[in-house]
Amino acid sequence: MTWSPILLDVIRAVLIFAAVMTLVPFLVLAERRISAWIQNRVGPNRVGPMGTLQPLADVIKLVFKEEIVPARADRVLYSLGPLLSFAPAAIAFAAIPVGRGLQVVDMSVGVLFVITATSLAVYGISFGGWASNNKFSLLGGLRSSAQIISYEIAMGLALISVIMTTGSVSLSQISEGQTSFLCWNIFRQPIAFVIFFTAAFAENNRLPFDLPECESELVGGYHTEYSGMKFGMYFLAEYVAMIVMSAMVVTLFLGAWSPGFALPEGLLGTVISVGVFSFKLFAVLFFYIWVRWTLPRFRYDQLMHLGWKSLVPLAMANIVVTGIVVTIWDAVQ
Amino acid sequence: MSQATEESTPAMNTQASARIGKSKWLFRLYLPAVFKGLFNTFLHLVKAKGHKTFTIQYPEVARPVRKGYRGEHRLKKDALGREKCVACFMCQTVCPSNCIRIVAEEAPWPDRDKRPKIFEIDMLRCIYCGMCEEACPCDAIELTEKFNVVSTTRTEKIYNKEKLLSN
Amino acid sequence: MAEISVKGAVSKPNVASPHAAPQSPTPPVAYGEPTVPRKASENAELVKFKLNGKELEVPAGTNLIEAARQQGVNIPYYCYHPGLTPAGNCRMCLVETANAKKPITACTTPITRGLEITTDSESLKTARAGVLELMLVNHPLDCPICDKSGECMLQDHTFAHGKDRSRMVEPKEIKHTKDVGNDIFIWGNRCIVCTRCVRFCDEISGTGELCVVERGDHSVVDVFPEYPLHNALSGNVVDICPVGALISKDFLYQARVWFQKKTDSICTGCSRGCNIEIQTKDNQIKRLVPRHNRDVNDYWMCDYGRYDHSHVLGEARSLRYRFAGLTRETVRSTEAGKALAQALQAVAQSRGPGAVGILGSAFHTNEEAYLLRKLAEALQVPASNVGALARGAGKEQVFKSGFRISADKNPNRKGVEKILGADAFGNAAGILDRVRSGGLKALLVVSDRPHVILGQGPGEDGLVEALASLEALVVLELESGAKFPQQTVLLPSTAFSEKDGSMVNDAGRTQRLRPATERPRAILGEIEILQEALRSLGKWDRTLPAASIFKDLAPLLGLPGVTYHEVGKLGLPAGGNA
Ligand code: SF4
Ligand code: SF4
Ligand code: SF4
Ligand code: SF4
Ligand code: FES
Repeated sequence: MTWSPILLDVIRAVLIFAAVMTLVPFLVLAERRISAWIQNRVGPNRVGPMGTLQPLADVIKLVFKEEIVPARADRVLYSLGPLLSFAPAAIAFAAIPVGRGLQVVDMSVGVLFVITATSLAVYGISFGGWASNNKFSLLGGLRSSAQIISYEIAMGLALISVIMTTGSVSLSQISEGQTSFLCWNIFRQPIAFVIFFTAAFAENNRLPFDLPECESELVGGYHTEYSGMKFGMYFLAEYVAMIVMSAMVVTLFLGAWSPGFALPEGLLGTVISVGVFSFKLFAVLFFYIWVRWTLPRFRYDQLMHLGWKSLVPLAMANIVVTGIVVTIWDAVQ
Repeated sequence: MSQATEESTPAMNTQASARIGKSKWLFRLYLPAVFKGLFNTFLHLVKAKGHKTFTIQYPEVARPVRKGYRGEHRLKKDALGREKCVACFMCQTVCPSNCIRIVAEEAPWPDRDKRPKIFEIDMLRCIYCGMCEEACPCDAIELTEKFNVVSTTRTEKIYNKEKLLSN
Repeated sequence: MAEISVKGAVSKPNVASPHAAPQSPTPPVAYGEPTVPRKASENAELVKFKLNGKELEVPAGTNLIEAARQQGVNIPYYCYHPGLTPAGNCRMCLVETANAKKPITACTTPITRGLEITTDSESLKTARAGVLELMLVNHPLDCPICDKSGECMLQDHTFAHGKDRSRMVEPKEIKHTKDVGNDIFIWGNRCIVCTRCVRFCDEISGTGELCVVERGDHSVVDVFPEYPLHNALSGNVVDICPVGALISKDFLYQARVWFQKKTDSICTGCSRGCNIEIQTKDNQIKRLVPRHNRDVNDYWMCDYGRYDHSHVLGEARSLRYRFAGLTRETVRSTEAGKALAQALQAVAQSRGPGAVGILGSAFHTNEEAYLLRKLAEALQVPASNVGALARGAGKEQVFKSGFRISADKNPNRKGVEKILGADAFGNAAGILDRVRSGGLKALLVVSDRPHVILGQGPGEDGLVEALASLEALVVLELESGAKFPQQTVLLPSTAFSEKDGSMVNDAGRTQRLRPATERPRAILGEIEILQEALRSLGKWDRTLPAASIFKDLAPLLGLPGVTYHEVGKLGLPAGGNA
């Protein structure tokens, strides 16, 4: 009977991984359709009903495309890059509760785990950029490292204030703590929310902070030289990372799986919680896409400026204020 | 809000600098502008305020061809259905991309001396400039309105005399 | 004016001929033939005259058109041709003189003392435009299908001097279009009745087939029934016709002239070595036209040479390499050279150099012959074993103007004799005899059509069997045809339009061939194979171009110190005087 919890873990892991992987193609489709609508276009509508099979067609195309390794590239790192960027993003999902009590592993340090895992992705990008033997790729990789390091600080500082309020670094406990609507961290920590969300964009290399790939200056940035399924892996990684970050935003600030009031006990409640979580996740993802097709790209100095001179001080001030408020609150209680 | 985005860029700049002067920190916060932009794109997204889709669904809806459009070539025929071309090589001479190949022969007809035995245009090299049409002294070649120029092989895109006559 | 001086006055002891290095910038030549004064008599005195107000000095009797052209003043003309007597019938060359009211024709005006000529007055412009308008009254709008288009004097002059539209509303006069000879069509509509062609047949070929028939605007060139234009120089009338009236059947609709690549070379049809221009398109010879050389062919060439170029891309062309038991399409030059050298060297070592025979031919350039000589020296082949094959004599033809088609059909007999030895051609029969008798065990044959001589010709009984019994047979051939024994080393060789080299004509004049076409399938030439063979024998350093080889052999031709470049476009006679 000792193996049954392990089996359960495995089943949960497989289920959640499969769900995320299935989500990616439709996220790509959603991105393309939404961007088209925003730009008064139609978007992919040829493959399958309403273009729903377009992601499948894309994947088939990517799988069958010739893989080209540029001359004098570092072959090992070149192949390792996409993997290193995809794997951490996928692993990070393990700690996120996608419903009441539904998570692969309930870690006591869930927040730290997710943050650590996602920031590992920078290796994949810098490796790919360096190994391609291409100046554009290299610049993309360098920018990525600088950007992710800068914004991780702001993100971490924003998290500290959240943790101070919730008093826990376990994601499941943070979720439980936001059961009632007014307890959602977005209301308790609005500034941290803004900082975290902004930093999340930067962590994911999404517009307006997509400087590592920015087509207009760097061709394709770190993945300029990639083709076929290696390119597909980077693509996948980007979207999985986006899902992870959205899930983090939902869990930390938007009340996680809670609809804002107490759910019924038992299976029904769990199912509802998954639905609520998914709904919130989609909303945040939509916001991601919406922002991408609205805002122009920051200049590199603006990016650094925003990170170091605005977000970091702001986050620090927020910690001080939170500290004072939490102390007073505790004293009052 | 959306009117502001419709205005030209210099005007926007003036507006922006005016606003910076008024409340610098609010502007530097970026957030008002971000939300304004988001609102505007949302209007596009839901097709509100007269926004509409511009895409022409090509194979089903044909795009109207403008006058003077330069598409694939055609060799014209005379009243008896023979090519009008007399193989003078003017088009080959003028062609800037050097994609016309002509081999001349004696014409079997009493009313003219020369005709093309081979007349080939390498459509992959052609830049559709229409110089051949302008150079032709016999009005024998013209650029049609055919713009669907796809094929599955390269050799298919070397059009021979028969293909050009029937184009 | 030294440039306008007569023949002889420019001759200098220096071999750097005036052709190679003109002393003053050559004035631009716009139309027609090269400028060479013919009519000024020898040792004529220099006279002063005025051209457009400028005082000039030329030998008395110089043709006005030529004198003006030397000064960069182009007087337009049609019927004048420097190789023919002036006829003065086209009226295009009108100029004004100080002492005549009406304009005069420049072509019939020799320079005399005190002549004052104007070529650019307003009234002359009107006169020229008028002449052209009348010429175009019946002229068809044929340019798109006319083979002359692009080198047509009527086009050029109309563009420069004519009106840009026609006032002619009457229907045009239609004249005959017909076959006037084996090789030539006439489009009567295009004829401007300049009579150049008629004068050519009268003065140069002396055959007189052509004449002008009818009167007024019906007049046109024609032949008499049963006397077609059929002489060995007839092709020249196509070249001299200023318009597209006379058209060569060989060139009919073959190419537009502006697409042709033009290379100066010489004809290898007979030992005269007429100077020609090889005109090619897409690496195919489209036509050969004569190039003026006062000392060789004047403005003309014969039809045998003119139409003899189909073999260059002919069916019979030998393009394969066969050695070491393999037939191949491409080999490296080192391999071919080694195969050649080893086959001969093996016999030379085992049987002694006396058992090796070398047969060149009279179609070699001097450079190729020189390499053969070096090969013979390297293998120590005795002089009696080095010979050269020649074609049999043909018929000599001399025309009224003195133009001569030589009976000797071997273009470089003189050069090969100078390089391989005076009795090289005499040796050939002896060598073949020794092949038959078994005295020779190895034979190298380098010839354009070896099958014509080896084993296929009459009276060559036993040669085929004898060749089969040789220990080594190496053949470089242009055209395959003979069935050489299986173990023969067979290599391709190059045609006249692919060679870079020099030849010596029957008057001892050294002239250059220039490559006009790429070799089919980029085959190797004799010049590479023989150098590689010498290299594998340790007697040659690296592959050299013809120019460098010429430096070594120039003394043999009686041109010591002369460089390949100095041979120039027009060649040099022995001794080097231009
Ligand atoms: S359209 Fe222009 S490029 Fe094309 S064939 Fe005609 S001349 Fe050549
Ligand atoms: S220009 Fe006209 S007539 Fe001349 S070859 Fe071209 S198509 Fe034929
Ligand atoms: S003769 Fe000259 S002008 Fe006349 S049709 Fe021929 S090219 Fe044109
Ligand atoms: S056929 Fe030519 S050369 Fe002869 S008269 Fe006519 S235009 Fe002159
Ligand atoms: S050239 Fe003088 S009249 Fe014809």
